[in-house]
Amino acid sequence: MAGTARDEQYTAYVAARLPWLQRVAYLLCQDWDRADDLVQVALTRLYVKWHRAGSVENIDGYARTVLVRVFLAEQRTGWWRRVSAVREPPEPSPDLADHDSDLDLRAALRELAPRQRAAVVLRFYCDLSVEQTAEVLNCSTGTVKSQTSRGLAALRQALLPAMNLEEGTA
Amino acid sequence: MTDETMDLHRRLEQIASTPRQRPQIDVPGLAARGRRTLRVRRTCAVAGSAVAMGLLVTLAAIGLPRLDAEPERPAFPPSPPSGGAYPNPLVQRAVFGWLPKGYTPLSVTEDHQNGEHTFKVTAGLNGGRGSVVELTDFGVGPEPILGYLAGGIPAKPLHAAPVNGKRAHWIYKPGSGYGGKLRWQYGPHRWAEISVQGAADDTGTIYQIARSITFGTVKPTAFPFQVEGLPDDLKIYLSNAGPGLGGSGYSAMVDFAAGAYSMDNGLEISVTPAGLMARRFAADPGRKVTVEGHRALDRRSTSGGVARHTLIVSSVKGFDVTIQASGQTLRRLQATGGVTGLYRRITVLGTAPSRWTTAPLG
Repeated sequence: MAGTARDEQYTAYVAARLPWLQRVAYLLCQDWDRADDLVQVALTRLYVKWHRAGSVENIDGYARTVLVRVFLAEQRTGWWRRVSAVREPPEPSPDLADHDSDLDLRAALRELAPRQRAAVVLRFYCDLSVEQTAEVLNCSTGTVKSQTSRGLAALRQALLPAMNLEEGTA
Repeated sequence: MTDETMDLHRRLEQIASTPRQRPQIDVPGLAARGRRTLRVRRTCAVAGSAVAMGLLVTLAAIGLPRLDAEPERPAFPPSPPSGGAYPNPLVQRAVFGWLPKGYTPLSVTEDHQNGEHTFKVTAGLNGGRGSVVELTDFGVGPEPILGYLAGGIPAKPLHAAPVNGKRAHWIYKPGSGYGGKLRWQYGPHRWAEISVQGAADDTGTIYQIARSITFGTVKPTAFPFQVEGLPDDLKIYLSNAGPGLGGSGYSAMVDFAAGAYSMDNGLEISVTPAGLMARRFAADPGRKVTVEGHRALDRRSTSGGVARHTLIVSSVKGFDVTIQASGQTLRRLQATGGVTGLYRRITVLGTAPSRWTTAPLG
């Protein structure tokens, strides 16, 4: 049964922030369909914990933490490789209109280990501090620094040939 | 921020802004799923094991699936007679014949949402904390979809040995860390599924449970309340009953609607162990009132043109009684005294299962 202030607040929040959460999820997993799955799981958990989420100052931060932890937990279980619960076949992905360099970056991002990818997304897309990132990932600041450093190094390395090629043809 | 990290931010923003054809997420559906999770938790959030043992013994006699029970009258689909205007909302149509040592019944659920008619029965070890077996009978119809892998690739059934000579397949194999899930066709156009978490997650145990299940039972569940004077055109969408996780209290609920059930239209009547709902009174913005001598919470609101009314009455013969109604269904109730009027027509039968009824809806 529905019909509570909880539902109204929750629905209003999700309607407003869904696109943002989907973008974060997409950067984490590189697949829109899987991003939707992650967001659905995270938002269902958010509903269950809404009494707590509604009392924190930064609901976005709370929702983002739930999302990242769902992503990391599912990496551990391998659930995403097995099945996602949707009734209809998802739409085919739209044609990508990205620049080559973005495709390169997308591929390089995909090659990162999940926690490295999460650290990079939280630090450089969500603009979180090292301390905030550590809180989301439930690890030390030192671990965040090393994960971020290795992640950036891997991205640089992966992007280097393209950059060299661009420089060579310029 | 360095030039490098600023550039990375910009490019991540570009990637995240890759256009999509349409959003795939149904926000009201998320809230509904969250509510179901909360309902299950509410059903499960009970305490005390001594009471549970006595309760379970009696439940086995009158209602919940008996672990060694034989079907009383094989028939399908079930259409049990009922003394009330509505049929029994929770007819058990399958029973476990064998479960690993120590497993006890937790809950039964009948679900008519989304045009389906599924029945679930759950049992667990130590009140289900970490070790749960769930049987789902999908009813008559084609096999439900398995789901899709990332990228929209249809999941494929994994080879499995037949169950009682009937074809079967794994959805998740045991020991994967996710819990084994076995589906089989137990009759023409009739599919069932068993999922196992925790101690029983191995092939031999899952098959032994699956082979022991009897389908086609018609056992109406006993409810600890009786309602008179319900509007006569409601449909029953969801019902659930059982001691739940922990195994010591008992909860039961029935969801109805006049027309299509949704987050803006429906009626829920539920009973939960006394004190469970009342704990929330202090923090709730609803009015604290007294109804027939019991502490109660009365919350009414209107938003988006949808009226909602929730009444929670505490400690009525060992249960908290919750009634929530909204939309068209609430309007249907107004002619007969609304939510408060409905509460006055509910008789709580106490915590002794011997007093409960299999015709709860008048």
